Order: sequence, then structure tokens, then C-alpha cells
Amino acid sequence: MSCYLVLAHFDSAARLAHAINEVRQESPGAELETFQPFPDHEVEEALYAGKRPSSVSALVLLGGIAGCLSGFLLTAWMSIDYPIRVGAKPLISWPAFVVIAFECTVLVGALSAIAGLCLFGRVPGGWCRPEYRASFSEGAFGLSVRAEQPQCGDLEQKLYRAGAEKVEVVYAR
Amino acid sequence: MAETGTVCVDYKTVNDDILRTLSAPGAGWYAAFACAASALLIGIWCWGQVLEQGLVLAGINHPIAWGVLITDFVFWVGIAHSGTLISAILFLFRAKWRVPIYRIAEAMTVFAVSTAGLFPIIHLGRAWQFYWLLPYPNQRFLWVNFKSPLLWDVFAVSTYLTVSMLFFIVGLIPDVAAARDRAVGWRRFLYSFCALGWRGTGTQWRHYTAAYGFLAALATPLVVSVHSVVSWDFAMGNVPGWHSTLFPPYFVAGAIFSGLAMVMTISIPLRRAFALEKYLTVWHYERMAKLIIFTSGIVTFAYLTEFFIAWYSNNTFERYQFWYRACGNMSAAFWLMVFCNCVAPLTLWRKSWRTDLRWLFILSLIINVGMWLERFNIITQSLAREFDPAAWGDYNFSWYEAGITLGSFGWFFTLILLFIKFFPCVSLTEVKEMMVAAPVSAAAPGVVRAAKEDGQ
Repeated sequence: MSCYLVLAHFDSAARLAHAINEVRQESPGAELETFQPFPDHEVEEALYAGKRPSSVSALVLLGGIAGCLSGFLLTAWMSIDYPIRVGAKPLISWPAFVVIAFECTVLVGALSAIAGLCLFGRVPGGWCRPEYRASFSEGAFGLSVRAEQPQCGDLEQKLYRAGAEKVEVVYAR
Repeated sequence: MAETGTVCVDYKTVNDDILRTLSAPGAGWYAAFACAASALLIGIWCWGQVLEQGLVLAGINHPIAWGVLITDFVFWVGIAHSGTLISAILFLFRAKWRVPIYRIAEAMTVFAVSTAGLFPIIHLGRAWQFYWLLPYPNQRFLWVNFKSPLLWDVFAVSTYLTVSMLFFIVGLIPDVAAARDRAVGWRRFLYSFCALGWRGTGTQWRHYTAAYGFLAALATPLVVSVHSVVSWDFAMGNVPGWHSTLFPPYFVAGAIFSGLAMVMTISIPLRRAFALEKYLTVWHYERMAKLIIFTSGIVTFAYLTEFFIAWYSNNTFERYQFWYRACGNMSAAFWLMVFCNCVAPLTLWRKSWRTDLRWLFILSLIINVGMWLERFNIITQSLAREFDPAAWGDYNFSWYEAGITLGSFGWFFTLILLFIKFFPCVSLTEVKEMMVAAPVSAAAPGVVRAAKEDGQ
């Protein structure tokens, strides 16, 4: 089945957010995607209203816990496997291992944040998409709405009324 | 264009201004690069000599087993810290003045930690066996000693390097994508590869802002922990002048103090060379100058506390150590340190001095000298006068360690110079974000979006 994208260009994040709300009001199930030179709360709220926050946070929590546990287990096991008695202290002197466990927590937590960005944000990925425009990294804001046919007069009018500077239809597949 | 005023620009101008810094380098850049690369080559040659003939060439003797090489290590780790303070801690506090400065501060962090990490390896003598520091399965069934602060250092510094690099790279992705969209030829290929297919979609930004926030939150305790761990290299040792619980906060404050000075050393000439005055205003430097006053105050208080505790402890060895620092045969280094770190920054209490960028540049060099001397005094003077007078000794200067130190500056500035010609040294994304968020205000000058429409 053919797929088209109606691509609207805006000159500000506020207009983009307004347009998202307008389109959502009429067709709540519409498949929308935005293109922005920088993140904007208003746009994010309009685009993901009612949805759960990014899953990156859960991944970082899991990574942090895994890092902390592995830091303690690594130091404890190695201290028993190759015992070095220091100052008549127990082999598993956990206060000395806190530093390693802390560093592992931060390291694995940070790596999990990157993994989350890659997994959920689809980075790395292809950027040479038909709907991508170089102006989106400069200062223009874009909104793409999925459509099944190239004649989308109503939607185009709606986007112009919401403040779009230009609306084009792109063959996406 | 007022030095302290507000300038209205549009988003395209921001891209024009900042991406212009990536154009073909001029004579000034080549001259600076030649100096930095020459210093690096001198350092490499000196290290080669030390590798061939032994650490005795590098001024390492009894009792000064830790000399300038470890001083350099602590100095460079310290330099790194304010980069993370500016990029991560001030990000979490939503301090607007960090925006134009944070990219170069972050680059400084990554390159300074990379420089610092070389010194323990150089100091090993047999540098090729550095991997013995890591816990890896081996045929001798040995594991490392996790109760040693030196091993904590290995974990702390390598984690710091990894996390600060990740934070730096993630911050660069959207800006590299903007550079990609304008570039041609090999640069387009390079930026396409480095931008990792970034398109700035809503989905990407949603997860990007979450990941960036968590990286900032994770990098924040690292600022405190890494230099604390470095300070424990000393504080855990039973040596007069080292064995103190004061060391972690004292080192962390000193690290931020010296790092802020290095940010100024790098960014003041950069601002002038690339005509970035409307992004990096005097107002931003004044904020940094105020942080310098604050951290200089903490460092001064720490110096006084060290002397007070030495006297109050009634410990002969501690008392002698601090008397030796102020009145011994290396007292010149001590008093020069006091001048650089405690007296010279007092000039910043006057607004006219702290808004004078020429003075701030000179002062930043003075502070860098002072903070290097602080680490030199702590290390060499404590080792020179430990407990038993029969084991006392004196520090001997070596041209080889001076050459390696010079080489470390060469390495650091070579990386900085390459960075500013290949990647945007001011964040396009955050400058544009700030232009929307910041109202036009005389109290917070910089760039704001040209008033075109809709009152954004």
C-alpha cells in the first residue's frame, strides 16, 4: 500500500504545537511526527499527551542497580579468590569497595542512558528520508502527517490555518 | 554590537555565526597549532628518554617518589572538573549563563582527563605494563588490591573519562547534524557519520532529553567523587601534610577553581578569534569570575585550616611540615601559590576588574600557575620532610619532567585546536533553545530571537 506524508513547515515551536493540537482534535489516531532544531516542552506535551514518559529512565535505573551490584560482587569475589590481608581487616572490607561500586553504578547507568537513546530514539539510523529537510536543523519546524493518498486538501488547509508557512505532500514509500 | 547588551538574531544567523568557526583555518590557528604540536613533540621525546633510561631522569628519587609527574596528574584531573560543573551541574540548575560556554568547557574536560590519564602510566616507568592495573583474568591467578586508593583512582578516572566523553558526544550529535546539512565533500561524509543519522524528530528529542538529563545527573556526583578519590591517594597515606579529612572538599573546590581559570584561558582568545562576542558576552565572564571568587575563598580557607589543624593537633610532625612549607627551602613555591590563589583573585571583588577580559585572561594564567604549585607543594614538600630526619631529602629539578609537563600542555592544546576546527565550539541547539526561553532582559544579555512574530 502506498504511503504519503503531508509535511508542513512552521517558523516557531508554538505554531507547531498549535498545529499538532488542531490535527489531534480532528483525527486523534493520526500518525504524527515532528522535526525540530531543538527540543520544546510544548511540542512534546502536544505530541505525547497521555503517553508514558520516555523509557530511558527505567533503563538507567536498571543499569545503575546492575552496576552497583556487579561492583560489589566483583570486588568481594576477587578479594576472596586472591586474598590480600591488609591491616588485619576482613577480606571483604565493604567500605573500601564502595568507591568501586559507586563508579560501576555511574558507568553502567550512563551506558544504559546511551543504550536507551539508541534503542528508543533509533540512533544511529538513516537520515536520508524523503520527508527530511536541511532547514529542520537550522530553524524550521516540521510536522509530518501520514496519509494514504496524495489528495489531502482538507488537511493542508487545516495546517495552513494553524500557521504553516508551506505544506507539501511527500511520497514516503 | 554591544559587549554587554542583547542582540536580536534569527536561528539561521546562529548557524551562520557558529558554523563559520569550522571554515578553513587562518595563519593564527596554524601558528598556535605549530606551537602546541612542537610542545607535544618535545614531551614525547622526553618521555622516550625516560622510557629508555629510567625514571631517575624524571626527578624521581628517594624520598620524592612522587614528583612532578603526579603533580601534573592531579593538576589535569582538576582542570577537567569545572567543565563537568558547567556542563552538568549548571544544566541541572538551569543556569542560563552556562549555555554559550559549556561546549568548550566540556571539550576541555574530555581532553584534560585524557591528558591526566597519561601521567600515572608515564609514572609507572614500565608504561607498557599499564594493564596490570586492571582486574583481568591472567595465567598467574592474581587479582588487583581493591583496598588501595591507587586502584580506586583507576576506576574513578576511567569512569570519569568514559562518562564525560559520552556526555560530550551526545551533546554534539544535533549540532553535528546541523553541520552535516550544510557541509560538502569530505566534511559531509565525516559529519554524516558522526551525526548518527540524527533528524531531530519528536521521538528522538523525547529520548534524547531524557538520556541527556540522566547523563547530567550521573556526571554530577562524579565531579565530587573523582577528585575526592584523587585526594584519597594522599589522605589515606600516613604522611604529614597528607593524612587529613580536609582533603576531599579542599581538592574539589581547588579543581573547580583551576578549571574555571582554564575555561577562561581557552575561551577568551577563542571568542576574539571567531568573533563570538554576541554569544559569549562580558556578562557570562562576570558570572565565571564570581565563581572564581567563591572557590578561591574556599581554597584560602582550606589553606588556613591546614595550618590551624597542624597547630591545634599538637603533632610534632604536622607542625614541622607546615612550618617547613612556609619557611623551608621551598617556601618560594608556597608563597607564590598563596599569591596566585588567594591574593590575586581578590581583584575580582571590583566590578571593573572582573569585567575586564584582558585582566581575566591574565588572572586565569596566574591561577593556573598557582594551582599547579599547590599540588607541587602538597606532594614534594610532604615527601621531603616525613617523620625521620635521617630519611629527609630534597626535590631535584629535572629538565625531562619539565619537558613532559610542557608536552602535556602541547597534547591538550593540540586536541583543543583540532576540536574547534572540526566541531562547533558553541552549542547551536542550546543557544537556540535559550533564545526562546530567555526574555529580553538587560540582566541576562546574549542573543535573543529576532522579534518576528507570535511573542515567543
